[in-house]
Amino acid sequence: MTLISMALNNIKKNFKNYWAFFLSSTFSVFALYLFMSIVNNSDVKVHLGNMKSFMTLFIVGSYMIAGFSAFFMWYSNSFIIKSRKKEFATYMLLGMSKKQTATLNFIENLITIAFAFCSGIALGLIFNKFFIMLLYAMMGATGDVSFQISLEALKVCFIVFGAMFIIISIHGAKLIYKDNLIDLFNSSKKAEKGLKVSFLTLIISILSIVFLGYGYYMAIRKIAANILLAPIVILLVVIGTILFFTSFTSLIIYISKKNEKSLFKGTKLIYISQLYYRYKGNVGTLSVIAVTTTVALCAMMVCFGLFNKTEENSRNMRPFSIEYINGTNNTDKTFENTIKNHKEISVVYKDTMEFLRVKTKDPVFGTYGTFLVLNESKFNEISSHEKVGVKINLKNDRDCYFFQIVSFDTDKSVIGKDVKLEVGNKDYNLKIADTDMKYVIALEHADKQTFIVKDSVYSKIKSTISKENTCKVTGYTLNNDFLSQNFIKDLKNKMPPENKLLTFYEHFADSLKLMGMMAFIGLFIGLLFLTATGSIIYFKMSMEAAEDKNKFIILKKIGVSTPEIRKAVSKELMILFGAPFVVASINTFVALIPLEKMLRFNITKECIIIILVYAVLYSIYYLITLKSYIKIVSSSY
Amino acid sequence: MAVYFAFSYTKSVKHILNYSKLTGVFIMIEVLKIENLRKIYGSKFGGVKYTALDNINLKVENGEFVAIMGPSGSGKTTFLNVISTIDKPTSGSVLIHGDDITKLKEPNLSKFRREKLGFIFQDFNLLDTMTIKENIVLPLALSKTPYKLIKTRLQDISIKLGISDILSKYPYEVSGGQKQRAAAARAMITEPSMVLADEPTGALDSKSSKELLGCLESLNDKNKATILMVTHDSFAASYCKRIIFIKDGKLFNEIYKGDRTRKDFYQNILKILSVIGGDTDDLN
Repeated sequence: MTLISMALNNIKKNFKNYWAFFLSSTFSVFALYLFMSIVNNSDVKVHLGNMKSFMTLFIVGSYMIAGFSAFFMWYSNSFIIKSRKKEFATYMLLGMSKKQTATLNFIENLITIAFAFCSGIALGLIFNKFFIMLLYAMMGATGDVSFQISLEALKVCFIVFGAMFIIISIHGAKLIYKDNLIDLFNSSKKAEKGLKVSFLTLIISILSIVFLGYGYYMAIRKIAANILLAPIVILLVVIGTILFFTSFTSLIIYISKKNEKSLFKGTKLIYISQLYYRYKGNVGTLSVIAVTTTVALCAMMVCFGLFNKTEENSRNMRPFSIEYINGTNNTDKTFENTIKNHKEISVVYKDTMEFLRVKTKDPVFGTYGTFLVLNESKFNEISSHEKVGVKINLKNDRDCYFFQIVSFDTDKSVIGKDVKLEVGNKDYNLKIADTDMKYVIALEHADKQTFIVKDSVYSKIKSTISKENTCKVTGYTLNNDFLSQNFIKDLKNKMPPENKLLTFYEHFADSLKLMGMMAFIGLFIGLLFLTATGSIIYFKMSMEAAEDKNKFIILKKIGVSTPEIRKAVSKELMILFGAPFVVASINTFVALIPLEKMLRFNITKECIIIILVYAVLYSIYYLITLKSYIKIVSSSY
Repeated sequence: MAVYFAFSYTKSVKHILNYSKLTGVFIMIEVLKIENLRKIYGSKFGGVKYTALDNINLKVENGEFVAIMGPSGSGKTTFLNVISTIDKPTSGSVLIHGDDITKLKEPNLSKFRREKLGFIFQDFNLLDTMTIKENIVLPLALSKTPYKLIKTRLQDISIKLGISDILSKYPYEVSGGQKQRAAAARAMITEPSMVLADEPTGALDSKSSKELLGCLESLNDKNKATILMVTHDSFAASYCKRIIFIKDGKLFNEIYKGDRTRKDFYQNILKILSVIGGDTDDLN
């Protein structure tokens, strides 16, 4: 028998353990190929138009896939080798040299990865068109996709996975060469010896709760106002999560093992002892799964949340359908002449407003600068046209309403503060009655923060202000924004750039391209993380089942029924699968709170749907693992 | 039975047994009754058939300490497997306290095995994941026995077997003899109708064997535990009160210890084995 036929035999025999690893690797290759082929696809570039630069997103996505795949393969490979050490030792005992054993492992890796690579690429080629069409649909683009084989993408995949293959082969050879025969034989025996709990564990447990708690507190309370805190919060939560699994859960298991009164009741004794005994070997895996699941859930939440809110976001950014800086009346004429040729749309409201530029100290930051002023009645009129629902009711001449646009969150502390508006050499002393962030015109036009004042105050300021310190903006609300594409094209040709024409439709179309791309990438990254974490946990549990088979035979001998064994195993796996998922879901919900504040959307619904869908797919892995575990432990006898 | 009725309102059966011992009145309660037991291995579609057990009839009464001996391939392991519900007989019945175990099906079978039978195996079969204490209480825990009762029984049995000081250790931290005594404790803690021991001294050195057998003997003596032991070892068998010899799947002979010393009984066993033509190494 040659080494090659031996390797083939081994793979065939072990396929029930390897399939999850294989599936996940195939998916990595597939996703990487797809992303790279999209980056290099000329059709897609044409469709992206002026959003072409956002193609970088796919490159970033590719890096993420490559990086994560490398980590996943390394991690899987190290425990695959660990679980096979005894097998390798048997080969060596029968007279194989270390070199031959390492070569055998090398050939096996080569076959598995080459096979995964080929199937990944094959899937990539077959489904390339389908997924690019899906991308188009998500971006709101139309058009035909031609079948393309991207040599560039093939090359990238080949390099990335080739490098991974070389690295894990060296790693594997190192593991084989390092140990003596006797160590190889005993490796699975000494691997796990139950968890040790000391005073240090208690301290670390408390620390993990402190880290998580403080991270959550900062995320909920502080991040929205100061985005620079985000890296610290992420670090706190990641470290907290890892410490939580390394110490806090071990403490819980330790305590439940010590509490005999509840332990000595039914199958609990079996699965708690099993968890206790297996803890050291599983704790790393659990932390990794909790962190990757958090990343996957958060990424998908952001991508799909934003994708679903694209229209709402564009309505916020472009409250008017069409909006421009109105220099002379000629501009309005241009508009009216153009719209005559477009019967598909009509104007519902037209609003013209005049902003006044004044100087004052910033109520939030205290810096001196230019601000805009608008009158109360005009603001309320526009507000009612746009159906934004903000109605300002100033009680007296001294009151004003302040619009903040600088930070992500409304700083309510400015309410009650005094502001001194300087117009020429005259000062107006006002008091901030209320504050908000939702605006009535596009931010590009109102580039400064704005005060809304009583009409009387407004006309007083206007009478003294010079012409160049005023700014007239006209906005139109159309009956149907989604039919305005051609009209906008015409209008753009006719209107000079200094009018700064801004339209809802353009913003929406561009956002949809961006959000569609992000959602598409999020979908793949999420699925990749899911298959990878599922495969890791599946493999670990299958190994555990094979090693612990004897225990279940003993249990059966002393009168534990099959349903009781099933119950014990399903509870054990439920805890191993469930704990990281629950922690990841909590982390995601915490991330949701500042995100909603910053984006000013309610994406709780999207978040819950994503968590539920992920939970369903994850449970499929749970059920497959459970079935395989039960099958392994009850196979003989 | 008259004695039983006289005390039935106030005292448990155990007390009656003690009383009967004092008064010299023996109450025989049948624990195990085997009738026409037959086990044939072989394919359903003809082929070579092998009769492992051939028409065996046997009764074991409460408080007996019985050894089953026989040469390799005599069918003693098959016999034990059938009694322990691990294997099904081809025909015949096995009654334990009147219940025919050959007709039991899962999950009742597991429950029966756990509550009515206790097992001691040659290779201990303790779980590495559990401490000695957890191993011992496992059958009670699975039957959801109240914690207080678990505690008193554990205390009681571990003192009797001399393992109270190793309860919190793991199996890999104690000696073979201690492991087997822990396994015996696990078998006894449910107060089963019958303890089935399969070569319990097979993996022990002579000192540990003696300790274990002494424990079993005293549990049989004081607690009236019914013990059925399959063994190869004539010395181990000499601790029993009655020995059944099996040869070629049939009951060959049986002897009672009676009032003899263990040494005499041992000589008697060796004699019979030499007649059966058992493993010669047993004679050394």
